[in-house]
Amino acid sequence: MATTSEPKRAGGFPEGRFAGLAAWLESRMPLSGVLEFLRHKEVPWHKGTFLYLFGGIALLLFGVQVVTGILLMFYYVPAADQAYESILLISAQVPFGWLIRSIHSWSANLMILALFIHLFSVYFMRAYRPPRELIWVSGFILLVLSMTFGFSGYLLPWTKLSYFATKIGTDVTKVIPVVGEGMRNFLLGANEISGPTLTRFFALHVAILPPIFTIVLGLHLLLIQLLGMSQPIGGAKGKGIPFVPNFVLRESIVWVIVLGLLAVLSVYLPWEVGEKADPLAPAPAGIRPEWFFTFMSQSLKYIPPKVLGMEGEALGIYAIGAGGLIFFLVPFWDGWARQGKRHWLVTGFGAVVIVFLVTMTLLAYLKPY
Amino acid sequence: MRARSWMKQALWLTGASAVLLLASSDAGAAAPAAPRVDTCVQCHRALPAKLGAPAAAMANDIHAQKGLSCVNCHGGDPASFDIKIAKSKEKGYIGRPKPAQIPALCDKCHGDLAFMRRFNPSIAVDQFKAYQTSVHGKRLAQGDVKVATCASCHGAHGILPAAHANSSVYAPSVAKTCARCHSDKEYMKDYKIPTNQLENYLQSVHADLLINKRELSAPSCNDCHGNHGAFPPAVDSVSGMCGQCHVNNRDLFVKSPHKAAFEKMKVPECVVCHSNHKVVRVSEEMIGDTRPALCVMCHPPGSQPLKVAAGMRKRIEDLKGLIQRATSELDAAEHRGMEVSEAKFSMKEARTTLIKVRTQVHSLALKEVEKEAEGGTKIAKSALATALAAIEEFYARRRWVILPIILTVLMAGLLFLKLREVEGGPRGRT
Repeated sequence: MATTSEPKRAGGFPEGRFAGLAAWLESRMPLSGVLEFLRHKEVPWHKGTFLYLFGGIALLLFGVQVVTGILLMFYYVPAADQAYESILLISAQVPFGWLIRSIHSWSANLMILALFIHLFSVYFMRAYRPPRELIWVSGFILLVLSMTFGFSGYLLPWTKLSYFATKIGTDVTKVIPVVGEGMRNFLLGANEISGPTLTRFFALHVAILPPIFTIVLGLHLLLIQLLGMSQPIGGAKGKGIPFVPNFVLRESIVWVIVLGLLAVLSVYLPWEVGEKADPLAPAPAGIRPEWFFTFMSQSLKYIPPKVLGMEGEALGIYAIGAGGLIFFLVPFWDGWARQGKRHWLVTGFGAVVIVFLVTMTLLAYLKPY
Repeated sequence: MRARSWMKQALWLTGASAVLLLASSDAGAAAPAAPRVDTCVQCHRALPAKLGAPAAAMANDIHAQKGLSCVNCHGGDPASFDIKIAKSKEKGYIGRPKPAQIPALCDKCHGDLAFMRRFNPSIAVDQFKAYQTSVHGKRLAQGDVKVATCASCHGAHGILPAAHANSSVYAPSVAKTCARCHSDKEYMKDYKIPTNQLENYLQSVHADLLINKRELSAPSCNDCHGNHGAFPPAVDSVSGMCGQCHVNNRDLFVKSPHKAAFEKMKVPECVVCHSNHKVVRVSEEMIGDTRPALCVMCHPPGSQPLKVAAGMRKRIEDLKGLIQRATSELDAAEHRGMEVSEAKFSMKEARTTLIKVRTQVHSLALKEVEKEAEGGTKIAKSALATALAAIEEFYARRRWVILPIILTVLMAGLLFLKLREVEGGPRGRT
């Protein structure tokens, strides 16, 4: 069990050499309540406890993103005629630039992966049931924001592959009735992907998304602290481990391993720069968006051009959107979970979503044409 | 069936009338204008096979598209359904023109600048004059009707513009069009000239570019022999022919000792080494002091020219080898995820230099070849150094990655030990 060598004072601050400083801080920043709260916080202990670690992994990788992203901004130039060259500069000339860029790219992808695992673990544990609906909602929004981070960041190196993948990605908005075309033009800043698009995507990536993400992340974390971690349905109440230090230590071990993995991946499989985008060149073969969007692009390939008089592509996008919406709203339609029951329909829907995502993603890589 | 045939005729007439109306609205640009009622087309379209084919082919004909019709070449009265009137000599009907008549007949319009510029201001109007200077034209004037006239290459009906991909004179099709006669041993037996030109040409780098890769600037028969004024190039004018495209090679050749020597020997310049129709892709093996180098065909072993040839060969091979190695190492570095794009880009210049060095061979001046090769060698060596440094850095990075691995294991181990201490066993729970 948790043991501390120093005696405690009321309010949670240690006595001794730092007592004066602690008292000074407490009077100006009264956080003793928070420390006291953390001391009593517990994490449910069951066979799926390790899944709680994935939220922390995503948080760590977000932090890595912020730090490496700021470092990249020192050299990156968000202009169509200089972006690619600045990436070359970062990769070839700037000391450790290649490593920072590689870590930024790898951590972005690992973060999305961690978020997907975190999302599905929460889903199957029914951790979204009352009173934690808003934790689910904010978490889902964080995943969407992360994917938007990925989408906007993909274009920034201004490579051939990213240019055409973004072109296809932004064309998707055209299927939205009435506002689709306008939305696309607003996003692109022009009729086609060009200099203004790069500037807008850069603004989105470094100025618009980060504060929104931070606010939603703050809300998400705050709600988790206020409501505590969810006990799985059927689990024995009161069976848990202290958050500090037991869970924190476990999370720390995982963080260290993830950081080590990130370093190894970034060195052994450095992120290639690719060829510079040429808007006048024909689209190259094998264009594909980032892996977490391939399920969408791949599934659209299997839909006929016309289905019941409707545009097949539009229908596909609506269907994927509807599926996502149903998934997003699960806390509000899963009445069984509210009664403390697991229903096969909810499990089945989650399984179908996973099978769909995994199959389409694999097909995009194994059988792209 | 008959009803459908009449329907077709009616539709064709409607279409033709529309074309003629449009053409007539163009301020008389298409004079002599085609008749409003064209009984030639109406009747011949309904006729079987050979008699109907010309009218059917006219649908795509450039002349028909410009508003001309049968009467403009054959004469007659296309307004009359009475065959005797329509094809009467009084109405100017000449029937099927004889081969000897064809060039002059085409020249009636094609030699008239004022008329032709209405359709195409840049079109040449001297084809007939050029034809008269050609071997074909001269033999035709002597009564040889087997020679090519306009229709032999362009066709008679259904003539397409030369730039049309289906035209018999579209650049990639020219060789096969010429070969219709020139590869026919029986047809050419009286002329005592080879008939293997097409066979040789198809093995050439020119044919590979033009026919296989559709590089339309690559030459076919007419680019060296001329088209309307076709003639065999003289021995001392070959470099002029090849020099139309290979300008630098020509310039270096005419200043080289080979020019005077070849003239003296009356051998056809470029053709001596490169052949004429079978111009294969060049390689370093063509020069040197041992077979299969071509230099040994004329120069005796141990002679100074062969020493120069061997020296030039060595410079080319050295540079080529260096470029290949640098390219391969750059690819290896890139494959490992290293950023070497600038060095890769510089290799374009090194390759261009290699081409220049190969070109410089035509000067037969070893010093010039060495001077040219020096620039390429410098670039390739620099790129190679970049590639090797990148590969070295790649492995250095891999060696250094052991550091975060050790740190990870160490820190994770310490944290695990702390966890065990805190939990008082492998898994302490409350």
